[in-house]
Amino acid sequence: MELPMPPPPPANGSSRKRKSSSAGGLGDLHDDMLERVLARLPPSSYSRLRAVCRRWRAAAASPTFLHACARVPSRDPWFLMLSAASGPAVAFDAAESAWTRTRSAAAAAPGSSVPVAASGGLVLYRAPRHRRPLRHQPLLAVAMYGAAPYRVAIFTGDLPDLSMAVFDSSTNSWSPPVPLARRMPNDASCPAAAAAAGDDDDDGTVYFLSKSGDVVSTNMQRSASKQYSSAVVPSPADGAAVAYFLSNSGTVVACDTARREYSELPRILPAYSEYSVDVVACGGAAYAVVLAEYLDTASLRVWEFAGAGAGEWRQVAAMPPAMSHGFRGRHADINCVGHGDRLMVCVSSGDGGGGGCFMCDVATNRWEELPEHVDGDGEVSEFLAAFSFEPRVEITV
Amino acid sequence: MASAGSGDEKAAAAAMITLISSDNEKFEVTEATATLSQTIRHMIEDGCTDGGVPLPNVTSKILARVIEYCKKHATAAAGEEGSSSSFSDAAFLEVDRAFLEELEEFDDAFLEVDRATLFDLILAANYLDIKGLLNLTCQKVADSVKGKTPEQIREMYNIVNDLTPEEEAEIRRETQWAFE
Repeated sequence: MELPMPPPPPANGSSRKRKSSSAGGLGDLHDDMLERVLARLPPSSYSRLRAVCRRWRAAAASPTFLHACARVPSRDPWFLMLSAASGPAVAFDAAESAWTRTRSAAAAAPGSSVPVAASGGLVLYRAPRHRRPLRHQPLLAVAMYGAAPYRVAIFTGDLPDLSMAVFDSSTNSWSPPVPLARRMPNDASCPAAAAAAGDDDDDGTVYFLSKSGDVVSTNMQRSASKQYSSAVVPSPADGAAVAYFLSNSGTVVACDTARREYSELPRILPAYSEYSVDVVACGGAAYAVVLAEYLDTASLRVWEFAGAGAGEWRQVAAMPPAMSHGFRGRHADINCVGHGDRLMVCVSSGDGGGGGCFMCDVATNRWEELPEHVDGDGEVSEFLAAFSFEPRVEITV
Repeated sequence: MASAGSGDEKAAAAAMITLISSDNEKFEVTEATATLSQTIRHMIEDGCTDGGVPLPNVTSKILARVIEYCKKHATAAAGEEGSSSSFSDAAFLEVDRAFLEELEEFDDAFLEVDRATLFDLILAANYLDIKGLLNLTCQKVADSVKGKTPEQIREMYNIVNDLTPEEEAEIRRETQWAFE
C-alpha cells in the first residue's frame, strides 16, 4: 500500500531567483508548516517579522496559527515590571533579553489597581475598590494558579488562625472561607525545626525587615503589590497547589490548598542577620531568597526547603559576592519572581541607587544584571518588583 | 541494504517493519521505532505493512536520519515507562534526569545539519506524523530566524516582499516597542 501523497509544494515562481544553497526553505513551506514555525517564534519576534511578506503577516489572523501557538508547550517569560512611578507598563522579554512596553497591560489595568499575582498568561490585578472578600480579616497573601480554569486563593488572618477562600474561574464564584489546620513540624525528630520554633518567639524583632511588617514602613508602601505575593507550586494532586508566602514576622508559611492545612517553616538564618526575604517558585520548586548582611558584606542566597523530615534549608544558588557586595548598608529590599529555571530579583533601596534587577539561572547558578531601562524622560527606572507570565497570543479572557 | 536496523535485530522478538525510501532503499526497524510515526502506526494497526512500507516522499538520506531519531526516542519512551512506577524514588529520578540530558544532547547534535536537510526533515516529520521531530525541527528554524530583521530573512530565503510601503509602515508602528 502506498501512503497518500501530500499535495505538491507550490511551484516557485520562475521569476524568483534562487541560490542553489537555499534549495528548500521557509518560502517553500506550506501555510500550515510555516504557521508551525512562526508559532514557535517568541511573540515579539513574530510581531516584528510580520513585515517579511504578506504570507507571514496573514498568519496572525489565521485560526490554525493560533491553534499551533496553543500547542507550544512553554514560552520564554515576560516579566511585568512594577515601579513606584506611574507610566506605561514595562515588561522584560526574556526571549529577546530586551525591554518592551506592554500597552495592553497598561490599558487593561484600571486606575490605581495593582497586580498581585499571575498564572498562565494571566495577571491578576487588585482594584482597591473591590475588597469585599477581605473585609473581616487582615489579608496575608494572594495566590493564583492554573490557567484554564484558573483559581485565586486568598489567605487571611493572623498566625496561627488562617483561613482561605478560593475563586474558581470555571464557576466564576468564590468558595466560602475555610479555616486552615496547622501542621506542626516534627519537632522530636528534627532539632533544626525545634530550634526554629524557639526563634519564633523573637517574632516582630526590630532587626527584621519584613515585607508587610512595620519595621521600615516606607518599604511597605513601595512594594505594595508584592506585599501579598506568594509562590505557588503545583502539587501532585490535580488542580491543587501549595502556596508559600511570608508571615507578618517574616517566616515562610507553606499552605496546601487541597488539604487545607499550613505549616510554618523554620527560619533560615537567625532573625538578626536576615535583611530581606522573599519567596519564589521556579520550575515546580519553592525557594526562599534571602538578602543578608553579615560581617562587612552582603550576600544574596537562594534556599530550598528540603522537606519537613529533613527540617533544613539547602542553598541552591548564591549571587557572586562582588555583585551582592554593593547592597551592604543600603537597606535594600528584594522582590523576586521565578519562571522555569529563571529567577528575577529586583533590589530596591530607600535611598535610591544601589539597586537593580538581576536574573539568575537556578539550575546553573549563573547571574546577570539586566540592562538599565530608560523611560521616556530619559530617566533610569527603578523597579520594585515583577511578575512573570508567558506571552500567549492565543489566550483571551 | 542499509544497516540502519542492525542494532535492533538482536532484540528479534519484536516485530520488524521494512520501510522503503523514494530511491528504493530498504530499512528494517523495530515496530517500537516505526510507531513513533503516527502514519506508520495506523498502517500497522490496519495490518497493511507486509512487504514493506513505501515512502515515496522521503529519500534514503533523510529516512536514515529520521530512523536515527526514532530509534533514540523509542528507547527513551521505553525507559520512561519502565521507571514511572518508582516515580518517587530519588535514584530513579536521577537516572531519568541523566537520560533526559543525554536525549537533549542527542537532539542538539541531530539538528546540526544544513538548511536544506533541516527543511527536508520538517517535510518528512510532517508526512510521517512524528510530533517530537516536527516540533524539534520547527523550533530550530524559529530559533534561527528570531533574532533577524525582516530584510535578513527575505535575503536568507529569497522571499519577495509583497507588502506595500504603507502596510510595512503600519506593522512598524504597531510593533514600535519591538524596535526600541
